[in-house]
Amino acid sequence: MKVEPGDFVDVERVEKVVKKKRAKFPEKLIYEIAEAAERRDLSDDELDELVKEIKKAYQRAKVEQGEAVGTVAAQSVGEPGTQMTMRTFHYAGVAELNVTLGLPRLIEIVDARKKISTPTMAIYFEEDYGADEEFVRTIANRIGKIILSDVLADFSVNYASMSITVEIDEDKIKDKRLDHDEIIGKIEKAFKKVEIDKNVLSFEPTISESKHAIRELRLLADKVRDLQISGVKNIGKVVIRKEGTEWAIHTEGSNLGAVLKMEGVDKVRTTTNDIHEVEKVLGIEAARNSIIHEAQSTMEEQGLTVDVRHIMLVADMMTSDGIVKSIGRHGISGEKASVLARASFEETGKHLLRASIRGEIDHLTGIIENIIVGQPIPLGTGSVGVVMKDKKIGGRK
Amino acid sequence: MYLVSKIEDTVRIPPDRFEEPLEEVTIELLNDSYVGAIDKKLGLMVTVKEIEDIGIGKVIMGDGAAYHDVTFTALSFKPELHEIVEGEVIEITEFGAFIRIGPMDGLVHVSQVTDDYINYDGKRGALLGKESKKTLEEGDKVRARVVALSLKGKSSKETKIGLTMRQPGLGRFEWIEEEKNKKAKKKTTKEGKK
Amino acid sequence: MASRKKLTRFEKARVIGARALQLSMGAKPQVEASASSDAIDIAILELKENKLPLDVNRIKK
Repeated sequence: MKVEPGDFVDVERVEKVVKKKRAKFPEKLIYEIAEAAERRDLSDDELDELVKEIKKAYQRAKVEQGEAVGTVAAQSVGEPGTQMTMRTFHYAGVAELNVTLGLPRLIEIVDARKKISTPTMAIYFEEDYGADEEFVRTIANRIGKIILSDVLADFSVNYASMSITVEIDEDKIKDKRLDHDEIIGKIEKAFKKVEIDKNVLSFEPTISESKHAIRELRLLADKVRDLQISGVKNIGKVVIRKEGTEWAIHTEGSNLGAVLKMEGVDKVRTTTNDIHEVEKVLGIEAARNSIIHEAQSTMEEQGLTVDVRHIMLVADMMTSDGIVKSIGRHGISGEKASVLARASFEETGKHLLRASIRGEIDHLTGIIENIIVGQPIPLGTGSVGVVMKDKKIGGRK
Repeated sequence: MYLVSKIEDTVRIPPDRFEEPLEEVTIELLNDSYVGAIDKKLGLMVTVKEIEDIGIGKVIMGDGAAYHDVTFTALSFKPELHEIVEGEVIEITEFGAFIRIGPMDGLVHVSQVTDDYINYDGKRGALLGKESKKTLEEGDKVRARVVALSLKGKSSKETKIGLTMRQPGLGRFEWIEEEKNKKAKKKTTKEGKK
Repeated sequence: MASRKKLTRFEKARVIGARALQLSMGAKPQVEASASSDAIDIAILELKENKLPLDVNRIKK
C-alpha cells in the first residue's frame, strides 16, 4: 500500500513514542517515520523499536564540537562539482530565455560577482491577479523592454529627401497593451526634428557636415528603431508562462526593487538570481537564503544532490559579516586575521611583506597557522584540552 | 648576599609519580632543576623554600606527564661587588687562598692577603708574612671584601670571585682582634702621657 | 565538574589516548585490570567506571 499525499498519517502517535524515548527529532523526520509506520502497518512494539534505532542513528550523525565541518562541506560540494559540465548554457524551461547553469553559475555564486552573466527574474502575482491573463500581459509589457521597431508596420529610409519615414501599427500597440499617446510623447522627447501625421512619422537628421550626411542618416535610423518606448531599467526580454493555474513572468535582466513596487506583484514569491540585488533590496538574511537557493538549484538542475547544510555553511560564511563576501582572495580568505593563513592561500609575498612592515602578530589560533609551525591543530581531538582532575592540594586559591 | 625571591615556572610531573603527594614531588623536581644553577639576577640557586601555588595539571599532546604552573619562593646566593663576606680558608696554593663564602668559593690572591710580602710554605700549606710573621692556613676563619666578580657560565665551578683582605678590619679574625687591642693600647698610653 | 557530561567522540579519543600513554609511562591504574589487558583497555575501563583522573576543558588553553 502506498501512502498518497493527503492521506491521513498518524503523526501524533509517533510523536508520543519519540517523547517517551526522550529523543528530539525534527518535524520532517517524525512525519517520515509516521508515513513509514502507516505504509508498513507497524505495531506499537515495532514502532518503539524503530524509533529506538532511529534515535541511535540520528545521534551518531549529529555534528559534534570540534568536527571539521568546513572540510566536509568543501568535499561535499567539490566532489559533485567535478561531475558538472564544465561549460553549459542551458535554456531554462522556456525556450527563449538563456540562463547560465552548471559550473560557471556555481563559480559565479561563490565568487559573489557584482555583475552576473545572465540575471533573470521570476515574477509571480498575488492571488487575485495571477489567473488574469490580460492583467499579467499588461504588466509584462510594462516590465519588458519594447523598442519602437516592435510596434512599426513600415520603416523606410529615403536617401533622396534625406529622411526616415515610419508607420506605427495600431494593432501591435493594442496587442502589447501600450498607450498610443504615451509613445508619441516619448518620441517627441527623444527626437527634435520629427513630423507627426497621425500614425506616420518622418524624421530628419541634424546634419552638421554634408560629407557625412548618409552616415548620419543611417545612425539616426538605428536610433529610431532602438528607441525604448516601454520597460523597466535593466530588464530586457520577458516571457509569459502558465504555471499550473496561474501566469508568471520570466525576464532577461533583473530589477527587483522596481518590480516589487508594481501593483499585483507577489512580494513573497517573486525572485531574482542576482544575489547582490537581493542583498540591496531585501537585506543580508534574504541574500543568505538566496545563496542557498541558487547553489542548491544549480546542483539539482545538474542532477546532483548536496545536503543543504553544507551549502548553508558556505552561505553563512559569505554573509556572517553583514555584507555578501566572496570566497577567495577578495573575500573570506583575504580577510583572515592570521598572516600565515592569508600567506598560505594566495599572494604569499605580498602578505608576508605587509605583515612585517606593520609588525603584525600571529596568535596561532587557526588550523593553517598551526600546520605551518608544526603544532597539533585545534580541530577534532586537537581541540580538546586535557587536565588532571583536581587533587585537594592543587585546589588552593 | 642571600636572596629570597618569588619565581613562577612550570613543572613537569611524570606519570609514575602521580601517586605521591603533589607538593613534595613538585619541590623535589624544582630542586633537581634549580639547585646549582646560576641566574644572572638571582645568582646561585640554593634551595626551593616554599610552594605558594600549584595550578591544575595540563596534559599536552604526545606526553603523558602533567604540567603544573607553580609559584614558589627560592633561596639564592648572589655575591655583590664590595660586599663584606666571612668564611673559612679551604685551600692554600702558591698564588693565594681559597675562601668558602657560603655556597661559593672566592680567591684571595697572595698580593691581597696583607700589606706585607707573602711567602708560600709548600710543606705546611701556609702563607707567611715576611715581616709581620702573620700566617694563613687551611681552616682559618677570615673576613674579606669582594672586589671582582664573574658570574658567567651555568655552574658554580665556572664563577670567579676575587677577594681582598688588605683593608682595615679585614683579614684573619685573630689579626683583626690584635689590631683592635693595639689601637686600644695606643689610646690609653697616649692618654697616660698627657 | 562533578556531574559527568557526555563526551564528544573527540574528547573520548583524546582522554583515552592521554590516559593510556600515562599508564604506559608508569601511572597506577585506578581500576582492577587483568594481566592481559593493555594500556588502552585499562584506560577505556577507567572511563567506563568514571575513575579517570583526567578532565576535559572545552575552553582552549
